[in-house]
Amino acid sequence: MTPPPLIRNAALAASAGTGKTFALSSRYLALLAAGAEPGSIVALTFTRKAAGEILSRILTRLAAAAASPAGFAELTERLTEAHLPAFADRPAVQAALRSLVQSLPLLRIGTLDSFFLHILRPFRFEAGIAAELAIAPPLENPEDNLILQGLLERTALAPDEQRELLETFKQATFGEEKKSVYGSIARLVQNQYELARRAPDPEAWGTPARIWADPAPLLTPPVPPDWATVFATLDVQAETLQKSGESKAWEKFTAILREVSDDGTYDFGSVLHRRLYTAFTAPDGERTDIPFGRSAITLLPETQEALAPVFAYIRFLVLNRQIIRTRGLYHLLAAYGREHRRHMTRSGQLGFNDLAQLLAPGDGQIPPCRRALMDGRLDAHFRHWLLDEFQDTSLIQWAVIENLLDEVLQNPDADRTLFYVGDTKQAIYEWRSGDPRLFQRILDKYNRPSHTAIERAAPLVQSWRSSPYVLEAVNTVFGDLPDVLPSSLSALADDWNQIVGCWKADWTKPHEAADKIKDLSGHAALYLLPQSEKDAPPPSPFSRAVDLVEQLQQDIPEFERYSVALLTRSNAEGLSVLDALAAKNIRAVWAGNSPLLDNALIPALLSLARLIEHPGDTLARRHIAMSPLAASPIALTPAALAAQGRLIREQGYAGFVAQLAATLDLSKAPLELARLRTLIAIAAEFDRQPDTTALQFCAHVQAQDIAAEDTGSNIQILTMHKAKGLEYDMVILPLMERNGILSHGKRPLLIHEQDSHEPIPPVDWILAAPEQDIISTEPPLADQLAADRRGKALEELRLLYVAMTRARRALVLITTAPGEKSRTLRLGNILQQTLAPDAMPDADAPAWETGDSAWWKQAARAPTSSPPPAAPLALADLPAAPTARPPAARMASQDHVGGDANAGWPFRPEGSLARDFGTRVHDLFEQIEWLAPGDIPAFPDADADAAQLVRTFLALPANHAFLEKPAGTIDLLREQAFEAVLDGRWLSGKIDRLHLERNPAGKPVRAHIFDYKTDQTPDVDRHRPQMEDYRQAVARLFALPPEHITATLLFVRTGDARSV
Amino acid sequence: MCDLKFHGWDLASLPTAVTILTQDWDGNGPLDLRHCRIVVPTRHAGRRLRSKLAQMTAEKGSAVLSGPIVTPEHLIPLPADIADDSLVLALLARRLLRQPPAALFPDATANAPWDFSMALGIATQLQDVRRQLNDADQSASDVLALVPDEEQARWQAIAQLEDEMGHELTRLGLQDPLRARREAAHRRADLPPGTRVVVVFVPDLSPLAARMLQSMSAHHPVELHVLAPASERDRFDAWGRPLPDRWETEPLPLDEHHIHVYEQAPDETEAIANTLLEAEQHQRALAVCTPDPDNARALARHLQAENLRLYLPNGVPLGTTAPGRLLSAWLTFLRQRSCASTAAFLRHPDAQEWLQHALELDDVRDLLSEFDRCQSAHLPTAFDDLREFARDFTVLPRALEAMAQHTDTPLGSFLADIYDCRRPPPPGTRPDPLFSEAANGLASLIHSVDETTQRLSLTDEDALALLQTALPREQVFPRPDPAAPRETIGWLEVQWEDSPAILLADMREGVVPETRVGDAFLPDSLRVRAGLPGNRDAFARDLFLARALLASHPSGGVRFLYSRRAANQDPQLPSRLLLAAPDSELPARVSLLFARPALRAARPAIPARPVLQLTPPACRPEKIPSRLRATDFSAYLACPFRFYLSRILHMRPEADNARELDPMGFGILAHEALQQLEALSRATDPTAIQDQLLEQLDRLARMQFGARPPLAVVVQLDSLRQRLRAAAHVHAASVRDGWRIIRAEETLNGELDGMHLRARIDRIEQHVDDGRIRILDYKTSDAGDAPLKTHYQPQKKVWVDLQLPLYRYLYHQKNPDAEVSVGYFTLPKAATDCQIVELDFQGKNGDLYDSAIATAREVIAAIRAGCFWPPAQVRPTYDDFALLFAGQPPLIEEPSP
Ligand code: SF4
Repeated sequence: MTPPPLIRNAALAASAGTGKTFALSSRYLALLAAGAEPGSIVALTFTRKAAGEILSRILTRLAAAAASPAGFAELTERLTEAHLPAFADRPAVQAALRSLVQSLPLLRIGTLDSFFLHILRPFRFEAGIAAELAIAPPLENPEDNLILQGLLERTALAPDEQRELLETFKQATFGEEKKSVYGSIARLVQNQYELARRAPDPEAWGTPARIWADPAPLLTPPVPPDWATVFATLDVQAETLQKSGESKAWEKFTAILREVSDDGTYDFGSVLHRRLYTAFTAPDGERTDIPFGRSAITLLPETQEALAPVFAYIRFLVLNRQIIRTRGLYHLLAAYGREHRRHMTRSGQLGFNDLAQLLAPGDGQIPPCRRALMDGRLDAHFRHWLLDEFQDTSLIQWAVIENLLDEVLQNPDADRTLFYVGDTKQAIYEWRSGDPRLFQRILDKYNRPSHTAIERAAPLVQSWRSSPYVLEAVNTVFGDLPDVLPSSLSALADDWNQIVGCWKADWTKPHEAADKIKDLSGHAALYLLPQSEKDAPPPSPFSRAVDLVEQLQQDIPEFERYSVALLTRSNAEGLSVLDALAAKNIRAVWAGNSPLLDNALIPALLSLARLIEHPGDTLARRHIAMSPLAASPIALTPAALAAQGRLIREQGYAGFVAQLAATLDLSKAPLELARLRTLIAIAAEFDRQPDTTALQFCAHVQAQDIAAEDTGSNIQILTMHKAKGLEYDMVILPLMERNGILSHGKRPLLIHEQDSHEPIPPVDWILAAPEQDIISTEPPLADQLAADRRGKALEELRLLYVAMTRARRALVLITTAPGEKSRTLRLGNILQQTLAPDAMPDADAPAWETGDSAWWKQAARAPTSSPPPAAPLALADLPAAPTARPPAARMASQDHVGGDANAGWPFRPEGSLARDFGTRVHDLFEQIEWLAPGDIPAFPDADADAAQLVRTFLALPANHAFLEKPAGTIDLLREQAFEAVLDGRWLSGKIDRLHLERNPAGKPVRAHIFDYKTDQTPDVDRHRPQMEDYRQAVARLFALPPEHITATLLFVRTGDARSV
Repeated sequence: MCDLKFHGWDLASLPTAVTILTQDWDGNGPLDLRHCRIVVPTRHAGRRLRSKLAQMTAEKGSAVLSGPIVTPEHLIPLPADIADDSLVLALLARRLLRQPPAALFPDATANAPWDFSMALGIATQLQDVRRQLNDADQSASDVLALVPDEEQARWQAIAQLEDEMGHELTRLGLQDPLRARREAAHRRADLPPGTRVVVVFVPDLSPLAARMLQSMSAHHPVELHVLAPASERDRFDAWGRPLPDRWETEPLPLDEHHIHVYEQAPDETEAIANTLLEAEQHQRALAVCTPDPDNARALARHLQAENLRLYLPNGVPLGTTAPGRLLSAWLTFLRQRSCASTAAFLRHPDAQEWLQHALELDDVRDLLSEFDRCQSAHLPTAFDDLREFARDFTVLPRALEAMAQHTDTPLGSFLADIYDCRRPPPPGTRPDPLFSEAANGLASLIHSVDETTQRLSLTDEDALALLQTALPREQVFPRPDPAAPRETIGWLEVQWEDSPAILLADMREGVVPETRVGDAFLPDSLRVRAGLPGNRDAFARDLFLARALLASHPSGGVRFLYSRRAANQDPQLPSRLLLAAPDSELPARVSLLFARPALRAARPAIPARPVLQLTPPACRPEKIPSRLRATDFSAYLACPFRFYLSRILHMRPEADNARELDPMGFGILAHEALQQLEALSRATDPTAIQDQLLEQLDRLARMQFGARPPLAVVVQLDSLRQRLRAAAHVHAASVRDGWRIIRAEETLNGELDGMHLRARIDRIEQHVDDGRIRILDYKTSDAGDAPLKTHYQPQKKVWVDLQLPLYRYLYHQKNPDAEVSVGYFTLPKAATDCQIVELDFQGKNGDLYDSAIATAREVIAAIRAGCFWPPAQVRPTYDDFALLFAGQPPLIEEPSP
């Protein structure tokens, strides 16, 4: 017998559709087979949906293997095939299944975020957080950003802090003070805060010595040029100019220099000025002329010499401005960071991004040596790590994971493993800090020539999703990226070659269809639309796509059965396609919309919420008046609005909406009804936050994205980014490209990492990017920009790959033929060059196609015996019994309150005093059994006032007599609780004192009820109902006729006794 | 020792409990339970029991004389001299503040100033830990023996805190309530002689409760009743708690058809709601158990929308009741003295009613509207600034004065004053069912914090912090709602429901059983070592409860509902109860729960479209304007319908969420400062001009924002200063070029096609050499676009703005011979782009001026014809009316002309 294969650390590259989840679940099952405890395996991914899929895949595969010998054989085969250990026999599988379901709460299969939260929670104090953790909802608008408010409102900062912040802000937005400060800072924080946390070292921000080989000219301000001499020299040259155009240009030139000489803050914003700058900074000796319009002015040697210090001066001005900006940005972000930290410490409210930050070594306070602590507080020992979608892991996330699993990698013999799977070809989340380079860098870090710590598993290229024809398109485009660009694009060759080089490193082999779908019919096509001509505008890719959908709807029988995706690049494009479809009466689902507001009712409801708090809002008022709400009985009078406002305070916005819903008849408006229900749910979620305002409620509702599946159309429109991880029978990809893929490089900041093979390379320098032309004159900046540009272009390629691989059966690509002289490289060029290099544009016939355009005629194989859905719930199936409603309840006793019944009474000190006093008086009376005539108890330990009052009351002989024992057999009941059902009402109460007379046979014959009141003025009528209740209860308890029962109110304060 | 009694589980708790309590009753006279101390698992179970006893005795024509019915926590009354929660918290916090224990909170001062309210945050968490330990009859120092080395330091710190807090209490002559409970449990119980202790179906007595019962059993009979057949005896411990070893492998006799799996929680809610509505319609008994209070509330809301009221017995946090919110808003106000917290208080209807009464207002709307206007005009952040600015208003200053006057009023009296003004609810509205509970709860909380404040001489600020910390910790319980025909119950009392049909909602892990994974102080392993119920105990208890429930109900009467995802899409795992299947059924069960298609709420089969529309009022002829401003035209050209809404229906938003100057406010301020230039008509020295402009700006800013504008405004003013400096240069240059301002802020009136036109002109200048006239408009938009770009779209050959052409037109009307040019004086964000740009009417196709005036005529004709339809296709970037334009295409009916 061969020993079971070992489970080794492994990295697996898996192309789109090749069953990443399946591979991950195999690995999990193999670990179980090898005897790993379910609680010791951590499987992490990025979305909750993916996490759900992984768990359900593991459980269902295990269940299938447990259920039948065939299932067992299948599982064994799959595991063996993947060189993984399998289960010994079916009982072993059954045992594993049992243990897995018993460990459900201990399973750590989920998102990175939820895992991080799970481990941070028990360590919150160590992480410096004083309150319970709560994940704060993402901010809907900058006004809700409490941290920003704290930063920008006088209340939070000391005056010198304010001055500093003001200065910082001015620096960060140097010369570009926009009108909206909140907006600007919110944007800066949103875009750059993560960077600030990754690069906490202030030295990384705008330090010339880190950027330039010769930083000296940028370190100290140069002596301003001797302007008088400069202008004199320029005037000399001016005289030599002949043409009037030239002298006009020269005038402009000198005017600019004059302004520079004036205050040194000249902005090189316009094209002309930027060109000038380029000329200024040309290497010495080449600076012979200044470009103006189409010509140039040749500089005299004297002029050149005079201008040299001017150019140095200007270079300093321009670059120093960026340096100041960068440092200002750092300080601004640091100030925000401090405020943010303070907020987290006190409130415990974190965003998802904060989790990793707090756990990462360095910032967080949980050093790796605390592993023992962690195991203890989590009741777990994590030994096996399975990481999904690894290409999207960010550096900071990796820092946390690495910190937790380094024992795995440093101690290869122990029973610990790491497995990660991903597809760097699908890495399209770099804007969300996903870093696909990690995939390789981790291998580089841990693998030594002598020792392979992490094995690179054979990449998966067999697709279980796409038909061979779709794959043919993918392979043709991506397996064979053009080495040579068309001649018009030769300027881009260098960049392009590097990009292709990167792509090829990730592209291992052509994709192939798995056996199961090898024979499935399918179709792939590329439409190449003609360039727009002067008069007749040609169909745009969008309108072509819309026509195509219309056509398919007619051609394909049961069209609704097929899922169709129309992928666009941006949300705005998606919405315009949606509009175009709607114009043709085709209903599609916009997967990015917030359909909650797609009707006239919910917006009006929001206006009502607004109006309640802002009664002067005439927009809201008139909106309601013209809305469907006008039909409801809601009035907009002050009293009615106040009542609504109170309802919100009592029952939250959910109660408010529900109450409104009850007044509307929506039987004919099912969509509105559905939206209203969704709104109630959203409002309930919102109501959990304390102290909210109507405006916040509106912003919250408006920011909601509701799952798109609600409207039931089979056509979905979504962005290429959003499509990741999804699949459709048919994908239509109309490419509307305004910019080339290599023109996206510029970002607000240039960020340079140190050359390092560490998984997490430190940030070397950061600089706010100056104008493009200026960058091009500064080699370190230019290099960084080029690298950024290539990175961005590579991501564009990946996006195309993701989009194309979403298709199961059919893929239609639509692009416009590139212009012959076009100098930009678009994705469309790549499609054309690879699929149909020689085709002529034609709007009606594909330039390239493969497979069968009537692919739907062959039905896909039915999925293997899909199980029936869970049983629905129906009243008819439940055992029937008539409603046995507990009787409506009533408390017969009242609090021991005296005085009048104003709503404010309970709050008054007198109110609670009276309540306490009443209670004390009652306590004293309860102590009294029977009084001997003339005996007035002393109540030595009692509250003096209460005792005095009771004694005074008893000093009146008539009152005293009530508590003297009468002749005969008398039962005494004090503070006696009772329960009774009278007239269908359930009555609970407590009788202060009851005398029950019995006849010699022991049968009750008469009863006397006493009730003590501490009211200031006796008001019998107020207490009559209570006494009536008592009388009835006593009648029932002791089977007495009511007329044999007396009830007496003893007004202790006034000494009155009144029978009722 | 206590007497363990088994009862079989063919019947549910309620009838069995009634049998137990009535076994000695012959039906003559009342059912006398005066000598019974009855212990039930939950408040609600007690209520059901009392109600059932009342009903049962009523059937025999009698009633109940009852004794105490309590939950295990209230078995023993506590002595009078115990400290309340607020005092304990304050003592712990004070100790923490004085000397933050590094072992507990290593980072005490690094990230935030370490103050009382932060310390309170930690104290509340520690107090909760202590309370849990107390249930296990343990204290922090007891735990020291149980925790591993690496946790010793932390627990030592807690134990020390606990100790010191205890000493301080002793000094104050008070007892720690937790310690007092333990001591009481160990002492001889002080029950009236002859008392019989009856514990009815409490499957999870805490160690402390068990200890109390043991003490009682020395002198009183103690019966422990278990809802299981005697044959199961050895599966329970001496306190009637299911033994994990004997239960955790027990399969439940559960038919797969009785498990309903939903896609997400709202689907489940809707299914329950529909079933309940149907049951209500047919008067059928149907009980619903909702272990998750959030889902219970969601269900109640759903039914409320269908006009069916559901009573939720769950406790409600005191801070979320209406008076609780008022107090919370007031506390925040007292602590922050900010404008926002003032608003939060003023917007509470109870505060409004008080102010309306106290200030004798006709209409409280004036107050709120004044607040909005004052806020957006002056952007105050502090209460004192707000008061300053409020002077220009009528009601607002009085309201703020009233608030200011009450800042020192004791909280109780203040709330009393407010609620004394409360009028009875208007007819047709329900009075707040929680009001009196909440009022009493608040009053006693305030009282207790007051006492703590005095005892410990806390500062006012600390006292407020303490109250704000304590407020969310208190709960109030709603009284049964006579108007609610249905109610829901929790998991622990589901046995107490006697309906044959029961829906068990929220059957998911973490809820049933309530599993804890990971804890800062009491992780499961430590809980078990400390004798607290651990996850295995919780599972065993719930399995037993489910087993008994299934046994006592007809087949199919108990339904288990589970949703795979929460309403917020978080994945949810099914309860392990649902997976307690025999080996042979487990694979199918797994498939049902994880793989088979789940149920969804019923949806209309055809794609639904919204049907309801907005019906804007028709434009009445008398509303058609007879005069227009030059700036109105661009609004009409941009969107006739929005023009109708804003200019004719006068729909205007009003709010209080401005935090900085909006573009319009920014522009107005710039204009007002630039008015100064009129007096500088001949000035050519930029520095002198700058000085004047900036001085003017400072004056204006001080008037508008006071001495301490919010920082955002400071930054904006700085930007404005920058622009004004640049403008000074441009102005000086224009003077040097020979231009002189002849009029500024001039209103021109005129007429076009019988329409009265009106324009307010920033700057009219004349050239000294040739007398040419130039009319300029100051533009402060960030981009600084040239006038032609903002006025005219050459591709479409359409005018989108007519402001400058109309200026020229109006000027000409008065001065037919003048040579007039028009343009912008731009002040964009890049100050270096500040310049004067004239509108050049010379397009490719000749002079465009006439076409501009023609467009103006068309607009006038259209407005006169009442033509405000259709709205523009393109949505503006900033749209006040965005809410009206919902839907694709917008769901608005064309107003009838
Ligand atoms: S996400 Fe894509 S690649 Fe991964 S398993 Fe699902 S379908 Fe396959």
